[in-house]
Amino acid sequence: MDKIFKLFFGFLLVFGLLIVALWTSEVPQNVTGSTDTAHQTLLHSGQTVATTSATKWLSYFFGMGIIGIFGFVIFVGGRKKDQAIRKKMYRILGIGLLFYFIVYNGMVNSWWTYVETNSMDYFMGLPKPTAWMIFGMMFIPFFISFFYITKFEDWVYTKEDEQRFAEIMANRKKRDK
Amino acid sequence: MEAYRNPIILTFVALYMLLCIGVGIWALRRTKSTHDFFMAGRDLGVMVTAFAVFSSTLSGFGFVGGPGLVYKMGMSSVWMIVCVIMGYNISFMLLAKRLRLFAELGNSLSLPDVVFLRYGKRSTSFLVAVAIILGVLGYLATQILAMAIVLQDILVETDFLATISLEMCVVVSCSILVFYSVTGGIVASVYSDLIQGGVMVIAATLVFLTVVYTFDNGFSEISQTIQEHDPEAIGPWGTLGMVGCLSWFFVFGLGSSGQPHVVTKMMMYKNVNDAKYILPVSTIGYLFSALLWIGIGLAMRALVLQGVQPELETADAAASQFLQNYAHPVLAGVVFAGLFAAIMSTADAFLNIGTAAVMHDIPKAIGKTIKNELFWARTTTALITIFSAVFALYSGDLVAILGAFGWGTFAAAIVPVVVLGFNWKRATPMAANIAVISSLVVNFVIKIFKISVPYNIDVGALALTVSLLLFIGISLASEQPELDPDVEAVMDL
Repeated sequence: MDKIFKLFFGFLLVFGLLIVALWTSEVPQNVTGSTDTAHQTLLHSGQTVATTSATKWLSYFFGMGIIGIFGFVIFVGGRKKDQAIRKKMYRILGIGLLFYFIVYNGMVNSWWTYVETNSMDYFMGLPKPTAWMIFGMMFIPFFISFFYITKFEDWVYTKEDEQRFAEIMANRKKRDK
Repeated sequence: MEAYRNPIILTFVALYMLLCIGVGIWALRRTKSTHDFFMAGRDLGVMVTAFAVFSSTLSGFGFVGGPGLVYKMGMSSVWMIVCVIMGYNISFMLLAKRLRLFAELGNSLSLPDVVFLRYGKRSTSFLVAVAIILGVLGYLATQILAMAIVLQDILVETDFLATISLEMCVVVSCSILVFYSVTGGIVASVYSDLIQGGVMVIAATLVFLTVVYTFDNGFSEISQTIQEHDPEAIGPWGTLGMVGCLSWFFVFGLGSSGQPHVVTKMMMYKNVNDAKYILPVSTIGYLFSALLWIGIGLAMRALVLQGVQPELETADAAASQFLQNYAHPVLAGVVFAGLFAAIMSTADAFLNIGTAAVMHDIPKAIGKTIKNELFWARTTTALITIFSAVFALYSGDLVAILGAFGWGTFAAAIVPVVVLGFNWKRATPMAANIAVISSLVVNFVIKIFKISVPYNIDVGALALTVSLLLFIGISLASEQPELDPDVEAVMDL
């Protein structure tokens, strides 16, 4: 277990350095938007992070880092004492995480193209990169939910776990008397 | 029917409030001990728990602030919703089973109780209770203020209450809240959540359909209108930009498992095996309710850009203006009731954990015991509401500071200590204490000293990164702590 946390700690250090690099990099103009000239209650976008290659890649890795952190946390939750179950869970979680990385890359690539070409390609009423975000980034984690729901008694809380907990409670009550 | 729009809205809101009072009276008979008052006797079924989880997560912000942000910034704030499935996965994978088992093992009444069970140190449960109280004060005050403002907006349109003051609206809305929270405690809270969640899902779905049918070419027309004006606004990052959006993705995704008013519900369900049903019901309920957030925000931006709708006075008026001008009066009535539902369900959840922190956790942490706990729980609930109402009306900026930083503070303080610490035997009380303190320091220092963060990276994301680093780093550098054998055995399950 400590091994995951040592790796997680190293990963968080790199993620922290990435934030420092973002903090110290030259920020593109109005990157977080400014008040629209015609409508005072609306914001209008400024330059994007794709304007310079430094901010483009730092932002890309910032997103990869966040998915990586989600991955580490999910792996901590997937830990079981039984090695066979643990392996199966880690395999499924690994596949889920891989899909997440793939979809994130698909969305970012699609957005880079969108910025360069002002593409008007739509999917289900949304520009393509936004469709990646809604139908990909949002729904891919259902893959993990699906296994949590269908394999709950096999992996998350088995009959043996239930019995073991009943024993723990019985012993505790005896001791407390 | 248009002529009766306001009376219809008022009728729906009044009916909803009467329903809350009814639930309070019903729950009074089921609340016989502090265990019932704070933990609902650990006897909740799947639907009640699932609806309580998602309706407490989606506060009034989802019905007022959320659509306002989408109107103002385009797709940026949708990242707070995009992370929801992942966030719930994390909460359930790491906490649902563990919290439920710990709650039974320690016969716990609150989150700080299980924190004490896990770490064995009063200082840790004390600090968690303090973080909860600080968050509760801000959050509860903002919910009360939002509730009163919406009520005033509705009442000033009537002939007989056109001059009603904000203070009077605070009194009316808090009276309902106090009544059912004091009489029925968490039982009233979770059963009203069931009604509130149902109203929210129905209202949001109907509003989304109204949004689509307001435009001849449905959602494509909305997208095209926004894109022609500003392509980035309808792109995945909206006007905020990539880094700011991703920081929301981080703090709302991982941080959702650190919200005490939400995760406390995971200590209350009857059977551990029910967790597998609670997860999908909560997730689907939240996603349906969030349709209103996205739908109204984008529709109002497009309508203003097309010149169909005059520009709004403030972005937060997006939802109320859409309901007044484009929704059927009955639907507007259901949505306003849904809005009260969203605000009240979050407010009562905060009241419950705040009361537990004040009259149970902190006295216990400093070695005091309170006699007649049920009486004092009820009294404290009423006092916290009164204090929060006064705080909301007269504290000026402080309420905004605490309210805005509630989510991030909870995320940074509780994710390492509870989410990781309950799944890692090596985690030490010292690391937990420092993680909680660092979360408060980072959040408040950046806000109070007005430190400018580039790319508008969410302060909560910075605080969460720092507290995770400190928590894991200090635990790895320390010797493995000795745990209660029963706690250790439960952590192996």
